[in-house]
Amino acid sequence: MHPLLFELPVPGGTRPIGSYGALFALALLLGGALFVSRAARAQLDLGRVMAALAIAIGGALAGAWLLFAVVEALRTGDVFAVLESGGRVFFGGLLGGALGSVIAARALKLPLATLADCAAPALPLGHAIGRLGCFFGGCCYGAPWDGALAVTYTDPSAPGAHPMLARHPWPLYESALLLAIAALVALVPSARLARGSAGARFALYAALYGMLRFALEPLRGDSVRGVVRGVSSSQLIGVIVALGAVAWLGRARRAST
Amino acid sequence: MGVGSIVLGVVSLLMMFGGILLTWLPVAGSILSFGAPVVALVGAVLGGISMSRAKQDGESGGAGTAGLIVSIIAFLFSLIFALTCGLCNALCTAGMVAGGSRRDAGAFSWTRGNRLDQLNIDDAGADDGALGVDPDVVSGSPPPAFPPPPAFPPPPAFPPPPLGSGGAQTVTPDAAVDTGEATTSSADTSSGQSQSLKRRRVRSTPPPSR
Repeated sequence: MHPLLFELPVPGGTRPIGSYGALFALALLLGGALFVSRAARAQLDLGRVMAALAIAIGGALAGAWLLFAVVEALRTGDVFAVLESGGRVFFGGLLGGALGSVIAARALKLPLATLADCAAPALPLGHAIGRLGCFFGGCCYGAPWDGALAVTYTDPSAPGAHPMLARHPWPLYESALLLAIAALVALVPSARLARGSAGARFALYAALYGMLRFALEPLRGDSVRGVVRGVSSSQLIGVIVALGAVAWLGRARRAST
Repeated sequence: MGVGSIVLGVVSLLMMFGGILLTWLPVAGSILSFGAPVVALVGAVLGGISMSRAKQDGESGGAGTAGLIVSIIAFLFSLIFALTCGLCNALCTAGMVAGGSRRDAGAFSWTRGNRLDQLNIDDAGADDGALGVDPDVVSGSPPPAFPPPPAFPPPPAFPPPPLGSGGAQTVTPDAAVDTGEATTSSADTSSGQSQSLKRRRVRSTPPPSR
């Protein structure tokens, strides 16, 4: 892991460039490029698609921080702790991005379901790259474990290094599985997905990721963050998202017959 | 609209550079660092709409394309710096906004050491238990890399009251950890006492709810 990518010399000193920030930007770039290429294949107006993408990204960033802020404020009862932490939550980003996409699709007169299908493989691709950033930054680390794949975060600036224990390489697990979801969602024939219903590809992604997150969360070792009766906030949202997506797929399949 | 997009892209780049240079300045540094990607996104929206309209009208749309490209580049770079310089500045700004009421919680911190203390982590690996300390309150993103040393003198350290006065609960982490000279300049703080002071201060922070 390398939390610090390099030091940028500026007048009067240097500024650190973190691996997490760089990989986060790379995730948005590659995910965005895949989204736009699929939108071009779907013969959508690229100018409006780019505008919609910018609105969705803005919504996603705002949602990711807002959900984090709400969870953290509820947990600590301290609003200032939120300002100091600056974290983000993926499901908040997904919900914020979805809201931004709905607004953009209406304002720019774009088909929302087609946009969602174009985003379906791009989201897990970008998310997988972002999780690599988590790994290099030493955050979102795994539960203590002494198995063959265990990693030990040693850089003192990594949250996972306190205490310095062998752990599950949780970000790597999720990154690998997200890449598999991206490939599956991109390659599965439309006809097999609710008989080609628009939006089915996105629903497949949502169902798979919800289940993945629910299954992987116990290996993450977040005993503090948003756990209610043994279920973390991300697990709860993951189950709701997955069930909603499966129900939507079933209904679309019945409607298409 | 295309020209507006170019202008916003350039403004975003300028804000990004301002954020880099003014990382040490509370509030202003945060506004510049976090504002730059927002401005770039607005520029990208305008650029995209300009491209679309130009295509509908049968025009070239060069300005819209240029604005879109500038805005995308500005967004990506400004995001990287927002997640490093911007977060460092946010730490500083949060401490300033919190003011004196939270000084004993170590809000105004420039150093990693203090940040760990906020997270209720005993960096010395004390007896909190392996899972008893969970620094994942920063979940979703790592903390910013070590902030650069401030170009201006660090925030004022409040000298700890004498240990005998029972004032360990009110000792500021800034004084105890950030500025070694502040701790050691107190007449009665030998290194053992300093450790004891730090330990008591960490224990005085309430554990995170579970």
